[in-house]
Amino acid sequence: MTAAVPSAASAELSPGVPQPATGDATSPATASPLLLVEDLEAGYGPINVLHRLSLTVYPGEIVAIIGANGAGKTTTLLAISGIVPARAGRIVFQGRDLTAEGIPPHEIVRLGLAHAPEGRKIFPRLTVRENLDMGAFTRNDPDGIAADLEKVFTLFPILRQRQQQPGGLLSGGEQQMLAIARALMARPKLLLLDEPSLGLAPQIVVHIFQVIRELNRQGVSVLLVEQNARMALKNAHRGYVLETGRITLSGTGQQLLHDPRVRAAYLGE
Amino acid sequence: MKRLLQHWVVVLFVLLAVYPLLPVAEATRGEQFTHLFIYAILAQGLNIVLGLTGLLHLGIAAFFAIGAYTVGILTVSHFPFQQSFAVAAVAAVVMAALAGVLTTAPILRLRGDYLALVTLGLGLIVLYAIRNLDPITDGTKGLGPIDAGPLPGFSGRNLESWRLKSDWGRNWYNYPYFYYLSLTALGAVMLLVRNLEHSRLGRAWVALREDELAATCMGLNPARLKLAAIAVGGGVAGLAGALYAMALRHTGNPQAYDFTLSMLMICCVILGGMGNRNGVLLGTFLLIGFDRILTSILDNEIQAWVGSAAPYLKLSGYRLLIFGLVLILMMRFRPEGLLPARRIQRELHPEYDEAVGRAAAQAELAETAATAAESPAPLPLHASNAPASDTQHSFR
Repeated sequence: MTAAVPSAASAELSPGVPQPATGDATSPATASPLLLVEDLEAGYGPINVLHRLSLTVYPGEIVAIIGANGAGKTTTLLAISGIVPARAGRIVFQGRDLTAEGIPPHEIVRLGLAHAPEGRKIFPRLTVRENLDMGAFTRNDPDGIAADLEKVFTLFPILRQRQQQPGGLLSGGEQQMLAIARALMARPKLLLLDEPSLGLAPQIVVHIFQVIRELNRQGVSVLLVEQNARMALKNAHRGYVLETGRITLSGTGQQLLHDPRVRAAYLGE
Repeated sequence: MKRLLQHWVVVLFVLLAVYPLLPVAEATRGEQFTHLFIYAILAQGLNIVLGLTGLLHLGIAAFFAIGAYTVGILTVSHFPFQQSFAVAAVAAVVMAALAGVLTTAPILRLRGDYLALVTLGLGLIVLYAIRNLDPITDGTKGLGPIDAGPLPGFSGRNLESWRLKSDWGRNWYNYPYFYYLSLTALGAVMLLVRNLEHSRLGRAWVALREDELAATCMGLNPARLKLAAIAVGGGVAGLAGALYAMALRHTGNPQAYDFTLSMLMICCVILGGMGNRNGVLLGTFLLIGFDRILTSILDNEIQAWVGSAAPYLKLSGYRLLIFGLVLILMMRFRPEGLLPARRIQRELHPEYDEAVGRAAAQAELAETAATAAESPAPLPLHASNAPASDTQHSFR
């Protein structure tokens, strides 16, 4: 590690670094974290994929995790939403320790943590509207659901037009929008997005990220993992670089974007 | 006419309801219809598990058997229970549902083929348990005679009041009383399935069938949903078993609950259209109707025509061959079934979806190309040597 690069700890909270926080969000330096992951270990079978992984998301932030194939990005998100069990470490969401309390995945959604999984995973045979209704499955307030449906349709007007079409008939970009919209229907405080740009045309990726920033402006915090490092870092307040299950770098989006090592390894320069 | 066709299920139910009043009606034929209704209930139970939730269960006959034997044990004279049919039928539903939950809970993690194998084993275990638990089930003889009244304190005998025809029975378990009871039960089960399909639970089942990971991400509890499906489906199958035992007034030969029955039910569900309750009803009426009613008629016709009763001239000897052929032909030419669930048809005929999807993608590209031109910050995705442009995307 060269001295020019801010170490993980200092970059994260150093007060000198300008934080491009959104309008109403409190300064991350003072607020308590929305999501705190400490020394997380998780994996499949005999293999540990994540090694003492730590990260934080403050209210109002967009945080990006970038990394190569197989670095453990998807596993990180799956572990946070409880689908892959954590073997060690803590995951604290809004002050509740998800790992210690052993909260199952379907309860984690109720706490306000929604996950749009990799590859979109919409329900192809349900209509767009039914997909969105499934997103609100945990909720029991018809008025609130109707209001959120309206919000989601404002965010993604195309979905309003396609309400009655089955999800499988949407184009890739529309499916990604539907996947994000469906996750939003749970009215999350934190949205986990797994590769929102996967398999989409560049212009559509731009559009998706515009929407992510728009909904962040509306108060949703976002933790996203991406292989498209440039797009992710440009649009994120902070970022982490994940290599073989370890966080090797962290900093603001701009810092990482200009970090020579990130540029060499992930931005193709 | 078109409206009539759209509501053919209602029309069919009305026709079946007036059948005993028609001059052509016969008691023997009516009893065959009763069996048809019972198998249709069983098929709806499988439809909940297989069609709606997508669990390939190869042992539905086990729940049918548990229902039948629960009624047998609770009503026959050599056991001390001597309950009425209503009580025994409720117990049968509960027992079958319980058996479903208890046998499925340990195997919830299994999917697809593995689940199918374990459920196949379940069917065999129940069958051999029945055959070998002589003191309880009377082994291969079966339990009987079942001679219970319909309700506690009501024997249901000598029902003279509305005897219209000479071949109508005098007891509640005779035609046409039991015919109407089974028809009503079938109607109730159809309504139950319809309501389930439109309920939160039903949609959750469909979502689970589509994608378990995504469903979990939506806050659905896959384990509980699968158990609920098996409990409801198993309970419906148990009800069918209860009616079956009462219709025979005996639990019959245990071989009636073997793998062939499970397979036949899967054929009915697939022939009619998985996940479509009306399709499953049609499939059952066609297959079981052929098996139970048409073959015997045809056998008699053939024998009368040829003048011999040689075994190879009996159509009923070829029943499994014919079912297999039907299944193969269906899989080849109409895998979604005669009356497919709208959703499943799409999956099996992707060529239509692909065409529409391509058109949608092209439209989307054209649209975003148009809007991107006016958007304030088109991203220089390939101009990676110009980091200055990054500032365009600051958050302020």
